[in-house]
Amino acid sequence: MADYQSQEFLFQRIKELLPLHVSLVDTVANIIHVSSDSAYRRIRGETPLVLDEARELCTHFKLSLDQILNVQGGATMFQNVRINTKNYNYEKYLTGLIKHVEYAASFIQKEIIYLTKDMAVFHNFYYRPLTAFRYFFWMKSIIQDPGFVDKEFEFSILSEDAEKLSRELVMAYNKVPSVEICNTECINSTISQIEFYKDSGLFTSSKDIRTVYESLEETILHLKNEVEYGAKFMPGENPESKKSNFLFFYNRIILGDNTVMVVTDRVKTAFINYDVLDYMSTQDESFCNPCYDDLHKMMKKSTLISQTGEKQRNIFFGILLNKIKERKKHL
Amino acid sequence: MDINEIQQQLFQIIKNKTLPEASMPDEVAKLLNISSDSAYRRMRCEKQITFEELYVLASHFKISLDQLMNISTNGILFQGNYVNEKTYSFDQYLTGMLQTMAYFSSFKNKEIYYSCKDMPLFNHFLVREIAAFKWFFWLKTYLKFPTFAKRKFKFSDYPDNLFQLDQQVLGLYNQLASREIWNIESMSIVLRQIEFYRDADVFESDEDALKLYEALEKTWDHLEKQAALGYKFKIGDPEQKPLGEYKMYFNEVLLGDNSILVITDNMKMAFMTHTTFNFMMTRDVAFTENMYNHMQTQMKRSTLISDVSEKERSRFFRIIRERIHKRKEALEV
Repeated sequence: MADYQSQEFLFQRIKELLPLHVSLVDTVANIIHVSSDSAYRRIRGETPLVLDEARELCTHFKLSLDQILNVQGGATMFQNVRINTKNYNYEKYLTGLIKHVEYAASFIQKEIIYLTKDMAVFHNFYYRPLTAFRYFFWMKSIIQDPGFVDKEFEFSILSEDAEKLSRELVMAYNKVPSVEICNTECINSTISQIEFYKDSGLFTSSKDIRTVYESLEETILHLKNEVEYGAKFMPGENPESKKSNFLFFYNRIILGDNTVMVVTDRVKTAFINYDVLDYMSTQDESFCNPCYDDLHKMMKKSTLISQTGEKQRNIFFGILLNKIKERKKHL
Repeated sequence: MDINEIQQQLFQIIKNKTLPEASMPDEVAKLLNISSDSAYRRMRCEKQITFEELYVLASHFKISLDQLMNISTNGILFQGNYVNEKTYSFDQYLTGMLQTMAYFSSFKNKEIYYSCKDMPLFNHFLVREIAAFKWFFWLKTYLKFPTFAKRKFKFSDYPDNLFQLDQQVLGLYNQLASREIWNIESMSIVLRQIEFYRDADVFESDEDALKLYEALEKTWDHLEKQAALGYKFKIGDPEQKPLGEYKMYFNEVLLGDNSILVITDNMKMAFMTHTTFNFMMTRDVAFTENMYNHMQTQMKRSTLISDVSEKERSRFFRIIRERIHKRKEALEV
């Protein structure tokens, strides 16, 4: 790296983190206590940054210099988002996801690539009964919220806030072009969770179980509709008015791991999902580039069923719908 | 720590990393493209170094800037490698795994937790046919190595040195106490992969698929015996001499993600799978503690089917065995 290139990298990274309406110059001037002119000279690389200033900026934005400048080779720094800590609740988690998606949407070129193990998280939120069940399951069994210990499932458990945020998340996702690589195991977890709660007596009536299954069925039919149009939209919206921004691949050979890659004008960001809801992200090129290549290899091995491949599409969704039908028979 | 102290510490670290016969001021001067006098002034903290200069020195001497400047990022550092044809071959992948297992073995107390999305990696090495198939599948279909593009699958293609490495890894794994959290779908993908190759004509004939299903049955029988006994033993050992403890949990709710947690005398290490095949490792305390708690919760939600719970164990193994059997029946052999 020659001249002030590392300084340029640092400011570029800070710029990426700032919302579009916030001025980089004013923010930097404010943090390192210099005039706007002086901040501008540093951003343009006319005045070198001193260590104190670099430290102030990194501490403020929680940036790793090792990661930005790739000082230590062979290691990748991830930022971690964990839901089950005391000061981080489900609503904040959803808000965080919305921010990620809206941030991606703010770029001219953007794409989300999703290698799914389960159905992509966004598709849980089209219909209220399924949204409520997912919320209840996550709160009770994954986050283990103390308020849910003795609770049985009822649809009213879904707060207005959580429902609103869930819908906002899908609507934000619908605006960003995306690729999903999915296989027919993707709804198994949801089904086994419904069955587990059924067997554990956590539903108050079999009518509720049926409603959740019907909601899952509607979700799959809606997803099928989206895949057919190659566009994303909410139930009730006119697909004809939507941009074609959805590629869907039927993958028969591996079950993904809910890896999400967000590609924007300048950078690739990989999100690795773990412990069901938690995730961590990195923009380290040495990690993201091979990961991106792997995802493209997966696409090549899979069958494109959005807008094309009607027969394969019918087979794929037929398998999913049959799984639900089988379970409904036993109610 | 003020900036002068940081600068002092930086040059102290550099001093420790400079060979005794080399002149530190000369080396710094050369790297920063300044005179020796200017280098001295920086080393004595009479002149502050710039951010660019810091970067040049830190990257040359491999010094962590986050540690030096005490920057807290909330980040987690992972290390790992990616299998590819040029720089990290499958042999190296296995050798790396062997070294990691040998490292675990060097501790007095060690235990490995495995959250299974698929059958744990080590179990693929139990029977040579399965090891050969997975190797071929990974390189041809998953990593798309050009040299495999037009090849058909042959059991005899699996190199002996790789199977020897497999056996060494397995030998060390067998010594460790392990807890595996399984789901009824954890065998689905290997079955799907065999089907895929059958449909795509990658096998010479259905005989190969049959051989693989039989090898899977053999693997499955062995795992069931291990689960019944509550310990691991070498496959085919008539005496079933006990090796590491084996705890198998049947989780009906969640399908795992192939993450692995290793607990040794004084630390925890987490291995995360990404893009299906590659692993990365961290020792980050908060991260590994969280994974530990998550695994504990999943175990509580599951049924322990090793050593105890014969009825549930039989049901679990029977369901999978029937799935293999059904596929075998469909073959034209």
